[in-house]
Amino acid sequence: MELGKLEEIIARDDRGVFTILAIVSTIGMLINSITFLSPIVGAVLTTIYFLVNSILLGNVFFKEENTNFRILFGLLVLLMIIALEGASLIIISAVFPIRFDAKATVAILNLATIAIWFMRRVRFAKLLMLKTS
Amino acid sequence: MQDIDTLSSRIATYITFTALSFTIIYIAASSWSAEALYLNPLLMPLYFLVTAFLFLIIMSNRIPLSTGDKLALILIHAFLTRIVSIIFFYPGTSGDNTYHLAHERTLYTFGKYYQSLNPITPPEIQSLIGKLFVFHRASIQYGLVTSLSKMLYIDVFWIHLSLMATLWSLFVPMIGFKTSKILGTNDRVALLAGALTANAPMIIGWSYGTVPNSLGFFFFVVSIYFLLKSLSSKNTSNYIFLILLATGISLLTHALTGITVFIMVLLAFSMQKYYSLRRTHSTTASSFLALSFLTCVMLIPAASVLMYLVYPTYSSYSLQKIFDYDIYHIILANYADYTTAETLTYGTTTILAIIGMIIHSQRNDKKNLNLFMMLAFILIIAEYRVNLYFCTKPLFGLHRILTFEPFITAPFAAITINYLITATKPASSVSLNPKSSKRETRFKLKFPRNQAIVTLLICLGLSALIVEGDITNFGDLGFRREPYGINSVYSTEAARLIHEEYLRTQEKYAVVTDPVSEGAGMALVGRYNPDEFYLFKYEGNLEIFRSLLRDLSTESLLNATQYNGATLVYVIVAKWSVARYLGPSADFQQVMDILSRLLGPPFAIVGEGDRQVYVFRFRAEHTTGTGPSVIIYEDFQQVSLNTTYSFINLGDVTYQLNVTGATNYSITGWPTHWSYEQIRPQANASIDSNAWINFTGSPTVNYTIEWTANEYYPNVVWKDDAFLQGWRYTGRVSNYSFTTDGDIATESIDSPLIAQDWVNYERQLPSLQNCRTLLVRLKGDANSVFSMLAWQNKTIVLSSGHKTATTKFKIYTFTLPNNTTLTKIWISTITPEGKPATIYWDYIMFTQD
Repeated sequence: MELGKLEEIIARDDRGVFTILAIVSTIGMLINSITFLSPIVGAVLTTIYFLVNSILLGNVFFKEENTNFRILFGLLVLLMIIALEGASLIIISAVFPIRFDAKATVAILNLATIAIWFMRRVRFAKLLMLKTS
Repeated sequence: MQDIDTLSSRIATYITFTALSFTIIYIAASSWSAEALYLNPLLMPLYFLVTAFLFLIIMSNRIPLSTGDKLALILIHAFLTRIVSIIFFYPGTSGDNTYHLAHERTLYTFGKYYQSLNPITPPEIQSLIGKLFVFHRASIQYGLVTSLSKMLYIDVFWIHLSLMATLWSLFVPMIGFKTSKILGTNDRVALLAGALTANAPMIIGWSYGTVPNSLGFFFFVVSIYFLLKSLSSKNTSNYIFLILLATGISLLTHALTGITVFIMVLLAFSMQKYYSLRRTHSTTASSFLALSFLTCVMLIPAASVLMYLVYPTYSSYSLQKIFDYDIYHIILANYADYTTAETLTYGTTTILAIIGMIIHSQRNDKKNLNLFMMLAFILIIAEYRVNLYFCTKPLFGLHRILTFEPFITAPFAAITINYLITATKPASSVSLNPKSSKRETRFKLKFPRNQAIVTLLICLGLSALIVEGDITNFGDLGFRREPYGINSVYSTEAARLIHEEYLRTQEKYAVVTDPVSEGAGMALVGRYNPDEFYLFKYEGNLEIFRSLLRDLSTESLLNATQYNGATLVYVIVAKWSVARYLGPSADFQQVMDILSRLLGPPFAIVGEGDRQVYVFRFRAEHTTGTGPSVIIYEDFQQVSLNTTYSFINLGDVTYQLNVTGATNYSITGWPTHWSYEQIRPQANASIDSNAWINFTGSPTVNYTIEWTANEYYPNVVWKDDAFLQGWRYTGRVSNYSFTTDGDIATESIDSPLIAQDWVNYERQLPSLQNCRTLLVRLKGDANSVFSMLAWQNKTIVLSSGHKTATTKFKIYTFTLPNNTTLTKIWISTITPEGKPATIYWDYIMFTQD
């Protein structure tokens, strides 16, 4: 399947099936870290997670770009969001006794997924535009 | 048919490029050695060819590749550059890079920021603000690496090793390309900009390792792109959100890059305001922009100085510094100290970019973007110059400010390069002999077109720049720091063996080691791991390690156990560290032999060459037991009583004898390597520590007689523990004293004649043969220095050198050369600063193996 086609299917997903798939993949990561302990399984699940969320994010922020750039920039922003959430967890752990374990990672990833879903659902960009104008 | 040709050419280009890249990777991998850094002579020439080939592909219009294809090749080249560097430096450079891996390991293993496991809470994290400040440092990197590692279920080491290289190779060329496109350039310029942004000589080294500063530079280039998009796109709100995200991330990644991104955002905002003001108030707008620019320039100095409010920093600025520079340095700044090659390597892009800015500003309609980039460029230069001229204690390395420059200048340098190529007109055919028409037809020679030559020269030149940048970084980060420039795999293996032992026994331990093995160990088990504690420099690792090598005494190792309460201490000694800390003439094998005696046979010996490591184990447990008996005369009746012993370290065993019920005691017959210490409670005693102890006491009092012994050296050939006879003054000062109480000899200089004065005593020895070690136990008053010489007839066979004595008794160990007959010994007290000096000599022993 062509990347453009795949992107179109994922980006068009209004029922949130792919968002659920991303969440399921994170649960799979948690199970993998407890049961299978397999980097291959981890890589497959991570690819699913990154692909879905990169496409969704790319379609929120980089509509004017072509497919490849849209997905890559989506991946870049996704990595930035995950990094920011991870950093926030570390800073919060200075005050509260929080551990950065597999569960916390899954929580971060799901928070990112929900945030992306929220951005899409409430037409985040438009919302921002209204506020700034 | 033409389509098939195009497709086959396209496939051929991809295959050739990829095959060349894999060949280079294979050469790099196959010539990698664990023992030393090695750059295969084929590697860089081939890399030069591939890079030149890439630039030819970018610039040529004849090669049937789309812009997307060319960009893909730029990405492949970017990955190739990073993969080669990863292989060359595998398993990573030592120092910062490894310590960050150690912090990530701590977070990965314990789920906690490393400072929360620190057994000693540093003062700077005792307040909430200080704690938040410390915890935010590098948190982006640690958070991202740990998250990815847990997602992929791949060890944190591999993620750390490849993260920066992957992010840089994948995104930086792409952002360079897109940035150039926003500025309104054509595809060729944009592709050139992409290649240059990823590989500019000044920044290429930052992409080799995952450190917060590198990640900060990466987010800087991302922020510049988002800023340009926000200034040019209709979807401003989208990009404002992304700019906020990038700024927040940059601030949490590294202070310098964070502040710089913030300054760039401020500059972009000022520019927007300037353009809106200019419509109504032109003068006000210009003043506003100038003022904003000055504010931006002053932000780094202000932030550097004000940072002390939250963290103990040391940055300061002074006018004095600029007066110390000559005019040459003031004008040329960093270029003043560059060689010609360095000037070309680092200056070419900048010069091309300045020309590019002028060319582009004349042609382009996107004046605001052009102005922003030009101001950003001037701002970085201004920041650098302000810090260079006025900052006496820079918070960040000055060269780091210049590292921002290529991210701004690369797109403009690409414009100039393109201009050079397009401005060169094709040459007409030239005849060798225009007069002869016959010959003209026979010998008509077509020279290559000027454009082709210029293009080829530019491709070779750019390729040479990139290769030179790469080689410089290989030198600076690797070869010049050999053999401790990279994190040795032998040290890592040693740490792994210790870790596996821990997994079997679950016995907690501490490790004292050389700095490279320290990093390697922490990278494996984490920093401040309470059960597997590698001492860092703040815990005195290096001091303990150097003291162990220098004094060859296990005493200092006891300090290592205080942080995690372990009784087991591992010592990892890399071969290079002995030469580094004891001098190039130090005999590594001899030092290892002595350590083997002190600490037991090596737990492991890993590797070969300068990076070879020895691992020793030392148990710091308080041990007690029954010792040998000594002969006692209690009121002239001979009895034999056993002693008791106690020790933590075999180098310092205390033997005790308890006696009671008599008035006169006479004790003799203790082993030669024992040294009499004291009688408790004090009694009226007459002592010759070499042979006997006589004292009188009360029959109702229980007396304890105490000896110390160094059980690592039991085979004593000769000793003097009393200093009662045989010692002869040989000079130099007259106002000295040398007294003994039958146990301790006190040698002192009361009023030295010169700053470094000395008094010397000698004693003849009974021609001692096959002695291996000289042990001396002594202490000194503050700043007193001692020295010893051992002689074979008129030849000095051992010199201790001048050593400052400790104020508590300490055993000093000296290894004697083989096949010598010792005939005389000198002991000297030295005044280091012209003040009185006293050395208290407890004993001198010569021992055999």
